[in-house]
Amino acid sequence: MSYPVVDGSRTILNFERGTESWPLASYESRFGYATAKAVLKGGKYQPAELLQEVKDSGLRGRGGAGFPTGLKWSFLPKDPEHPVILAVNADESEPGTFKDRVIMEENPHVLLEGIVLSCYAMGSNSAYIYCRGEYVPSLKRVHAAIEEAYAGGHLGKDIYGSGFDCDVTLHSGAGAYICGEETGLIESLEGKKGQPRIKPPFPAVYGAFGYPTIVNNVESIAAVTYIAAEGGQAYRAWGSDKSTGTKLFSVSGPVKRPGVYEVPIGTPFKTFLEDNCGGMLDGVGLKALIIGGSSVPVVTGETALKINMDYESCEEHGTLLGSGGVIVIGEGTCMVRSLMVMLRFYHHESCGQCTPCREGTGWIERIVTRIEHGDAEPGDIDELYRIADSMELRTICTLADAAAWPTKSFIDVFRSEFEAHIEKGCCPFGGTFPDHLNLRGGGVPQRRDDPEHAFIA
Amino acid sequence: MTTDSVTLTIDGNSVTVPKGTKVIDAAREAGKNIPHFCYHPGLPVDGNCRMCISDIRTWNPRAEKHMPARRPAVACWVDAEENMQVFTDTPEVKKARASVMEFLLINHPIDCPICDKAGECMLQDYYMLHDRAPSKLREEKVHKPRLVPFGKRIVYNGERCILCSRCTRFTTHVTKTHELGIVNRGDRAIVEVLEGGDFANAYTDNVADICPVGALTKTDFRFKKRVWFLKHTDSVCGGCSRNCNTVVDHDGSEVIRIMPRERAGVNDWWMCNEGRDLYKEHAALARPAATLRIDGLEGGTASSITTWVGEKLAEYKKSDAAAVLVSPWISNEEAWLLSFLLGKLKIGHLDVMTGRTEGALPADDLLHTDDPNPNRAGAIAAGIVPDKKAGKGIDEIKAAIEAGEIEFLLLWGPHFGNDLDPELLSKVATVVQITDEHDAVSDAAAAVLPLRTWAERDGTWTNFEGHTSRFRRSLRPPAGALDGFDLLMQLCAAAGVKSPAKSLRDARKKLKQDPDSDVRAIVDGKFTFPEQSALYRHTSGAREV
Repeated sequence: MSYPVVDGSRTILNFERGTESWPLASYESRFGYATAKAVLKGGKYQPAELLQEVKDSGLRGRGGAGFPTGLKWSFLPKDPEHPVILAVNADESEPGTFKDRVIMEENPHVLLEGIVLSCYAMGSNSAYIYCRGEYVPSLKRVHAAIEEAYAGGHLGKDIYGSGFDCDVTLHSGAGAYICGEETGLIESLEGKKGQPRIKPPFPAVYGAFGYPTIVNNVESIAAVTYIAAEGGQAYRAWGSDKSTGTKLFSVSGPVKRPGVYEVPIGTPFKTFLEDNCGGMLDGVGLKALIIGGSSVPVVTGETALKINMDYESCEEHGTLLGSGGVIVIGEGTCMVRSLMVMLRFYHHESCGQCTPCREGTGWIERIVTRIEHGDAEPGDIDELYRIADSMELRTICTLADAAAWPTKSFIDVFRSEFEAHIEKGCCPFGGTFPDHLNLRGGGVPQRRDDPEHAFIA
Repeated sequence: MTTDSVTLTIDGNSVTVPKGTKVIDAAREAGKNIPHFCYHPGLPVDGNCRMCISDIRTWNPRAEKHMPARRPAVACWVDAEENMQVFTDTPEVKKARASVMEFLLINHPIDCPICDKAGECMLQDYYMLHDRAPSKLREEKVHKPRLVPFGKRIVYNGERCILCSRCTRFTTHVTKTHELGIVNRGDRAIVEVLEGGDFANAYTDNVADICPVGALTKTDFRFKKRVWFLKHTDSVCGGCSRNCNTVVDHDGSEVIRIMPRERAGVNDWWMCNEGRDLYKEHAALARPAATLRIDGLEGGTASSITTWVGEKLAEYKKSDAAAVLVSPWISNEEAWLLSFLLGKLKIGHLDVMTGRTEGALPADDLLHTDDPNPNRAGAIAAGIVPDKKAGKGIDEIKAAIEAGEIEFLLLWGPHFGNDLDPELLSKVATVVQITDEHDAVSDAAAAVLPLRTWAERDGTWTNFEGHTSRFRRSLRPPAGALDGFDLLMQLCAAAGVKSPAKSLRDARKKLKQDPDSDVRAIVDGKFTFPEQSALYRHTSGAREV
């Protein structure tokens, strides 16, 4: 039996939709932990060989920045004097991104197996999963999965009698977006206020508790399971030379089937929209697209249809693949209001450490709010652009950039809409979202399969 | 070049600094002050204000050229590297700084007219240097709590606060008492005293000194004086044997406040609350008047009394019936001359008294020592010790007084009361008191000569670790109060002993004092910038430009 791939490209979400895919028994029926056994017990790879496989696979970090995962691991000190720590970033809070949640809820064991294999490759014996605090169902599922894995001998001391130890600790965040930044995550993990650290030193040298630490996204670590099972070259079967493998995209907006899809990287957006998402809602045109979560620049619907969903093509068209949080914006949506909502998020989530971000995010939000409500002057658009420009690249982490980029791109791409607001003295779209993209309900799939809201470990 | 130092260029000027030096410090070595708010040499680097953003280019040996950072770096965080290029005033850097100033000021209340920090505020200084643009904010500013008491001595104004975290880092890393923290996120963040706690450690006032803006003000100074009316004089705190180097801020006749000034190895940048309050004790001091109570010689001027004392001393030359007790508040130069005079007269019963005991604070590992007197070590080093052969120490002198063997006793300086009670002194025929404080003995002594206090004269003290620091005259002395060194010169003359020094300056030269003892923060009433010692005397590093 070999690693099952569903629908030709589903390596992480490799289960029948609608089935109980998360228990250990179900996972084991899908080649579960067979790779870990083959590697740890069967000696399929030495750690260095596995690291090489990951490098060969061309896997790039799925959290947003797209940094090659194998290369990141190789930054670890060769003979570390302290234990190495793997921190899995499950603090998925970017507006429009909800892919990791599906992995953790539907297939938590693929993540755990990925953790065991990654730890083996990087010489670590302890891993932390830092999960977003609001993700109560995810926390419960992962928690249950960890207990199952310990009971089944897939985690803990001397796994499969191989002499290799791997302990996994689940840590719940408290609802701060900034704790998804790798050094903010580390600070929070240490029990401090979640504020990013100045780099260098990078976490691979000085991370959590002062130990060398690798912070990887849930999806990156989950992908390691397939790479270890089938080899780096097999992973290259999908995508292009520089963007390899499969990628999860979480789609929200006025499409017929919003949700999370795993497709080969580099799939044309047009195909993806029609085949996977069922196309736009009837009667709603594609106005704009934010392809990688709210931080990446927006593109018009016209440009969107030319994009192939990989790193190079996105950059070519003036945006970034980011985390794969596809926000589809339909005709009739006010772009100023969309920006206002987004900036409200960044204002709320700025950690308050660096001056430009702390003061700037609030300021641009207030200006955009004024524009949306028609209380603005023509100079305000340039002013807004100037302030966003002043925030960019001047801070410790990239939260300020994440607020500045969409602001600049919204003005670049939809300047006429901003001008219309000022000219008309009010929002030409009536000041609300159209019904199909209401703030509540609407685009984002609502999942309430777990009635309990409080997570008690 | 050794491996322990690196050479880099700051705006084209080459400078060599020890390895591990931050670029911002290297720039100061090269005479460039990179503007900053959150950086303070006495605190760990935080890098949050972003004011010191500079164009820092590291040498890339493979590409054989200097590589600019992808993300502009902050000079307070980056270590100086060999062959690094730093540009501190390119148009891009200037633009970045102007924008940081703009961001800092949009939510600032700009209430300088009623702010105690006005005049020594880094925001004001840097606004004039780096921004000078009118506010472009059209919306309501962010409102935060104001007038929040942080313990009894500090008041916090959240709206003025720029969240540089200097105060929280001070309580975390210097006093290690952890009272202050920043709560909330983004532009709602404020500094708070942690729940259920009080901000009451012995060093709280330092947070107001290092606050670059008017967010933390001292209750003792609030609304007392505009800072531009203050005159500044380098001084030393006598509150304990640490000898914190200070600046006395005064208006010529009255001390308004005492602030610490940088002195490495002594107090670094800090000072305790009690030391700052010492000026109140000084203001309340009862001053003695020149008095002579010898039959037939009553009255007399200070100079005639001095002559009398000098002649009297000479009468007791080589006598066993004379003793001299010295307060540990004497200056090194005075102690040196006094010990010389007594040596010539062969008066060997000589010792340093216990001095002040009230106000003694428990010694801690930051500044406080257990001796609340400034110059015991200096007085002993200058020769205020019993004669090796036949001299008596303080306990033996006391026993001799008790036995009625002492006829002449000279008390130099204040605070004798912990060693000698008036009853004991009544057994001495002639008591001469030379002091700056009127007390029980002053009413009974045969002769009293008024001295100038530490704030009214010039001198040096040596602390318990052997570091010498110079204090200068801040205040006009009250009429009649005599300078200790001049008085000793006159005593020498009256006793027929030729003084080894022509003047105080000459004495200092002969004493071969450590040049560090006289690092000036202030020359002619103005701060000497860019002298490093002065940079952190208050909070402002901006003024030298």
